[in-house]
Amino acid sequence: MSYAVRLIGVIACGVTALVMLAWKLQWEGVTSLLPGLPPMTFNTALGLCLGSISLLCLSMPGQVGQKGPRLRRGSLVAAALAGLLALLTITQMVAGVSLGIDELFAIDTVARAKGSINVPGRMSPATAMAMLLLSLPLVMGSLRSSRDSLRWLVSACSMVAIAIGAMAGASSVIDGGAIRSVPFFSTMALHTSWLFVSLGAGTLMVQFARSTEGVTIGRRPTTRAGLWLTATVILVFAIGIAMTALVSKRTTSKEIETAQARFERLSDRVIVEADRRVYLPVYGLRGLRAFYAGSEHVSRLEFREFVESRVIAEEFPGTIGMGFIERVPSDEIEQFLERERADHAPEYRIKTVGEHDVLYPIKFIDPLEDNVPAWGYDVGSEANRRNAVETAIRTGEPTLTHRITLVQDELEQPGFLFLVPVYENNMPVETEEQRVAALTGLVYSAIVVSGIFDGVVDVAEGGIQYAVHEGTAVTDETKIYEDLGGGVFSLGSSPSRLNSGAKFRATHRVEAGSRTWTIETVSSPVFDASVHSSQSTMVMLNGLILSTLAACFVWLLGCARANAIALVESKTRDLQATTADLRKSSDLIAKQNTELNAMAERAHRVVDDVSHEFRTPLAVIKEFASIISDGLAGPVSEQQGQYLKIMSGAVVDLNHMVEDLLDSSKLRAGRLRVERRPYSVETIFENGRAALARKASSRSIVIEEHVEEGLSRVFADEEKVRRVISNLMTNAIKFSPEGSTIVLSATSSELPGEVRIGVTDRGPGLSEEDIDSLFGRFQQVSTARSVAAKGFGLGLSIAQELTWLNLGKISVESQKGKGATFSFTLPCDDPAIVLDHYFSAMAVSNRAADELVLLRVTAEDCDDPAEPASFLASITYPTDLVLPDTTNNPGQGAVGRSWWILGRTESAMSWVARIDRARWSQIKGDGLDLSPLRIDVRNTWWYPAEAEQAKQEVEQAMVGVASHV
Amino acid sequence: MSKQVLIIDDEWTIQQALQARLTAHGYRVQMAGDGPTGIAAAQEKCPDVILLDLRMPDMDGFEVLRRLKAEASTSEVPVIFLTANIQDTVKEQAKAAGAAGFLTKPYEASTVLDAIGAATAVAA
Repeated sequence: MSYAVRLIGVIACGVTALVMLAWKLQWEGVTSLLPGLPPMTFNTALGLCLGSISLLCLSMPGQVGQKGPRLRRGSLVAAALAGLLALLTITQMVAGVSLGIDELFAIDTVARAKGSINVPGRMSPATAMAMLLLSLPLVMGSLRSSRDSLRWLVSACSMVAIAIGAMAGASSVIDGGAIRSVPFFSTMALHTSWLFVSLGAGTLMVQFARSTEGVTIGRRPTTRAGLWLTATVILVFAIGIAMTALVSKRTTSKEIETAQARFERLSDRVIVEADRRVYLPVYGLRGLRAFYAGSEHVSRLEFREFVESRVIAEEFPGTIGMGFIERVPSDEIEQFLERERADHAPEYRIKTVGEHDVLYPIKFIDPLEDNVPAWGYDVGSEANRRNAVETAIRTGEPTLTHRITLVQDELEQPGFLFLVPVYENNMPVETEEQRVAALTGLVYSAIVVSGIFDGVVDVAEGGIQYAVHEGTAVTDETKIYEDLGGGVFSLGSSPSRLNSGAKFRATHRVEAGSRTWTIETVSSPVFDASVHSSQSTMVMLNGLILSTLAACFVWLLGCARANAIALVESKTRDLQATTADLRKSSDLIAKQNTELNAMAERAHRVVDDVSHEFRTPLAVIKEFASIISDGLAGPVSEQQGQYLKIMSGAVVDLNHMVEDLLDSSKLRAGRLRVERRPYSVETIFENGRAALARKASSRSIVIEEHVEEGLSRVFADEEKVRRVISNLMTNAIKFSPEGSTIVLSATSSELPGEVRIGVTDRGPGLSEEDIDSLFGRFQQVSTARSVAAKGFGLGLSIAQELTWLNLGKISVESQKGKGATFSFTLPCDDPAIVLDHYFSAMAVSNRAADELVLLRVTAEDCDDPAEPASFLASITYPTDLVLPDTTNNPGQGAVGRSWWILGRTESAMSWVARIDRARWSQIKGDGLDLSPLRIDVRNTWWYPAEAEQAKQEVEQAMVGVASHV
Repeated sequence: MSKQVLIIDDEWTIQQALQARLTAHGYRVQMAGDGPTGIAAAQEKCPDVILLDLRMPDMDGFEVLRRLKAEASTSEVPVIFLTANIQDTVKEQAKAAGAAGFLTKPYEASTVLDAIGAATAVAA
């Protein structure tokens, strides 16, 4: 396709460059292309040249290579200049001002002379509009804009430009009628319109090529599609050719009509001139007759002086002499001779053949030196001449003889006598008898044919050949003169040499001297050649090019479509194969997931069972050690008491390890129940104080508690908080020197809405490397702290996870040798703060994307609000957030009858179904009496994609109505 | 007269440890190694408090409690679970089933004594 675009670009560039050169060199034929059509102005040629350069740049190879940016830059500049030129022209037209661009490059002197364009050099409105429309897709193509929303605009601009060009072009070659009469089109040149069509098609092809990048163009479609495509291409080409033929035929007919009219016009000129030439002698003869009428007697000398007073050769072409014939009865010949010889002609004699009662001797003939053989010749001695004489006498009209050979013409070429009778003055001449009686004589002209018609053909400007025939028949025998133009003529009855293949032929009747002549005119070869004008050829050429382009375009479109379909089919097959693979993988993953879940369940059960089985013997050992130590089994020595205390401590450590294992297993399996409620820190500390004191006492460690005055209540699962404190404290007790102090503190966090609980020991402290790996599962620091450390290293990992479930963060500050402070944060009891912490906690979760669902659960008929709250805590996941809605139960605080549940699940419906199933399971399976619940799904969001939107909407729903929990 | 405590636990060692501790603190102790024996003993002896294990062969602690509560003669006897099962749900279930206390193994002797003391005081 790019080759076709490049060809269009090169041709357009060449044509426009030639036109610009033609303006400089005044070649009107190039600028107008066809006579009578408007010229392509210099500015139009310049704009189209820039457009074709832009198109060439876009179609050049290397668009995606190193040359790409340079080519696109060149294309952009050229297209922008063309567009600017058009825009300035339109601005001039609309605003009615001159910006000087029309005279900037060339003066349109030809157009100015013709007056067809008011402002020299200015392109027509249609041209300016089409050029502006054409420049837009070129600019967009240069910028490689791929926005779908602009593609239709680019295509539309190209198509409108093509349409404008096509309409103007069609109006030029068809009839130039309706459309040409519209001012918008009236001044667009034929080649301008052709270039708009070509360049517009080029831009469409470039755009099409761009849109099908990645699709192999030119690959053959499938057989079935190929047959349809081939048929379509042939049909398009056939329609194009048929239309071209139709237009061409119409153009040719019009050309022939025009040529016919021109031929008839030239023929008329020849006929009129020939007729005039033939009749010219009559004017001279009438003058001579008038001379006779005005004289009582005309002597030989008077006659000669009269003739010599006229320039015969110029005034009467073909006339070689003018004379006077007198009617002489045969019995008066002698008197006649005597009288004439006495009149300065002693040598005068009559030349006659045969015997006639009346002779018609030529009495005078001048100039005599050219006509001596005719002087005294008895015209009546030859039948043809005698007949003409007698006709002239009888009719009184100028009369021509038939074709004769003049006796004085040594060349013996065809000639005639033109006779005019002269009658006595004052005698009646109304009837034949009166005219015969009143006859004085006849004045006449001796004419040679070659002289009459010499140069007549020049009036036809070489477009006509003609022959003159005597009478109405047109044959070689009747022919008396033939002129082929260019000085070539023939006389007499020779075979015709007129243009035998003439396109145009006509015959005309000419009445002269009571005779009928026929003039046959034919078009000359030069004329015939001019009929084959460039107009029909141009139509054929244009039509052929456009039909070919259209067929190519359809073919390429079809190929691209077929390839696109093939590509889609191929991709679909790949996709189907991939989908099948994915389905298999999905099934496999689901199967593996089920197996993994079963394994996890089994593992958890094993841990649970092991834990259970461990705890019973541990209880026995611990209890009996305690019984012995307490002296219940008899007296115990101090050393024995010391050993028993060590044994009890070991049992406690082992029990902690078992608990850690169990908790870690629960956390991994998501089985840990979380029930967050508002608590004061003092309450939490108080509930755990005894157990912590027992642990600390084993190493004579003192625990100091510091709780900040006026500390806000926290929203947390109290048991989990105590477990975290216990783990941190256990850790601190392990690593603190015996008899040291551990500080358990609760303060406001540096961030608003948070409480920070810290455990500070006087142990060996931690290095930065230790801190980095401190909270991993089964991690134990490899320092002096580890000397006294026992267990699996799960304590801090569990503490971290439990803190996360309480929507807080755990951290440690330590310096080597200076003890350590482990602390964790908890959100204050404020819905907005709790929500903020919830979303922050979810943000660091590595859970896969799923739905975030907001439910509102209402206990319809409930005496004890704690029961549904407990139920909800039992069936929700640790990562779900359950907040009481105090709107429906004002004043009841956390134990209301409505709850918000915010959590992540695969789908809202599956969650609702799970809640329902769990409820029925507890009612039917465990025999619990649960209140009916109404569950409303308030909203769902994709998480984390819609996390921010979800946060805002959840806050609006939950915090907006529950200002305080 | 000293209070009578019925221990229902399939672990003989636990029975022995508890008996030693409670006897030392003035309680009379009866022992049963499984659920049905424990129920029969409860009906026969009418103890002041029952320490009941949860996980036992044949009949678990919940079923024993249900039957004790179902029987008029034993329905008012306070039952304290003493189990190695520390699941949260179990604790909730026990509470819902009408247990007077829920203690986990290994236990602190003082905790057990406090719970028995509290239960017998309420029952009295």
